[in-house]
Amino acid sequence: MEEPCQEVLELLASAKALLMGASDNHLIITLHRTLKEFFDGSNCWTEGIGVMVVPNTLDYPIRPITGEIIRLQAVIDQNNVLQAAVLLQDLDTLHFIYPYNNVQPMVAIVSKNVTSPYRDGRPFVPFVPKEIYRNYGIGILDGLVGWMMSDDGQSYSNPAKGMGRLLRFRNTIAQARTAASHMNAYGAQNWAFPQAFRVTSQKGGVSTFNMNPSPITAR
Amino acid sequence: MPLPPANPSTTPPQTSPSYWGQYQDSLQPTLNGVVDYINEARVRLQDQVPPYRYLDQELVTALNIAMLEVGRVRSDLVVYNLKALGQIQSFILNPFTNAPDNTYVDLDPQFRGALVNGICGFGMTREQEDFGDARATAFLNMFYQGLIGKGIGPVVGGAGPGGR
Repeated sequence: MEEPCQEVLELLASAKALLMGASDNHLIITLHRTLKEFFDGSNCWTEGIGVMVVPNTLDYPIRPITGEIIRLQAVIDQNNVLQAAVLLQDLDTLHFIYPYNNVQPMVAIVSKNVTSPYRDGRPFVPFVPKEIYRNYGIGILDGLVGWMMSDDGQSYSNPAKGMGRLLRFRNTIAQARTAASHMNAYGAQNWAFPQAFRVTSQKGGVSTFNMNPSPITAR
Repeated sequence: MPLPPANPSTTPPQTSPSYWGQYQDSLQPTLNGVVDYINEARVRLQDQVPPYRYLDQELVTALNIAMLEVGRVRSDLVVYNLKALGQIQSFILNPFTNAPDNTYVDLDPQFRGALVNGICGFGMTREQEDFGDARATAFLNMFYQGLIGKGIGPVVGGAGPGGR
């Protein structure tokens, strides 16, 4: 686990200044909860994990360098062509829908979230890339302070202000989700991968997830 | 020009050194161990000369009760210790010296002053005089205000014996 960056230390200090009587441990645990909600809702923390695909094997364990995987965004081969795959329930195994005949490298693009906020049994600041704080630090501070102010019976309790802070936090999540789907390019089209997973258009009836779609390519 | 001391680490500082901490609460020297709390409580209780009015054991028991109250009204101060599984610290006198020792009281520094008030308040609740009750109540109010309140109220209480 990496040491906390200066950005998160500043964020925690700001929160502490805004919340009289808040304990350090509760701030860290609440920051972890805030970050969980932020990354779960925005999918803005991603990592490309290389996978060497071999014949007759469908399942591949994948492990991120930092954080933990929460969902699979896409798998692309060396020609940037989408490949059909899913993430199994353990969230650490990539399962291809079809077998391959050749050995070839692919990249699984995954959404990530923060890991346990503990070190040696004590709360410890969860690792997040400092770029996240650069873009969304103010919104994450809103979320942290909003969560804390929503606590009952504390010197820093303030449900009205907490609600306002949480609304701003939800706006930040939406903003981060949009920016991530545009790959952080201003005015760009949505990133192709999530839409490309929509392999069939619903013409009627009840929508069901297609476990075995026909092979597709990026458009 | 005076020569520098041979071993600076053993030379007492000429001025009060500012403490900047090592990022760990356990290294914050103010009200760090049990003996620090008991000594400070004796100052506020005006009970510094033996034989004591409040025995060491009684004040340590008051500390333990105050810690239980900390766990009740501010559970976030204790529950996140996974090694202790949310248990609340409890203390005894040192079995060799029969006196409070320097066992670390695991509490965020900003709440340590409140804990001293709690020790005084719970220690004084045994008093029978009217002014003692009022002063104990004042200490307990400051204890709770320090934990969950915004401002610590004034130390109020009845007048001393014959002072009405």
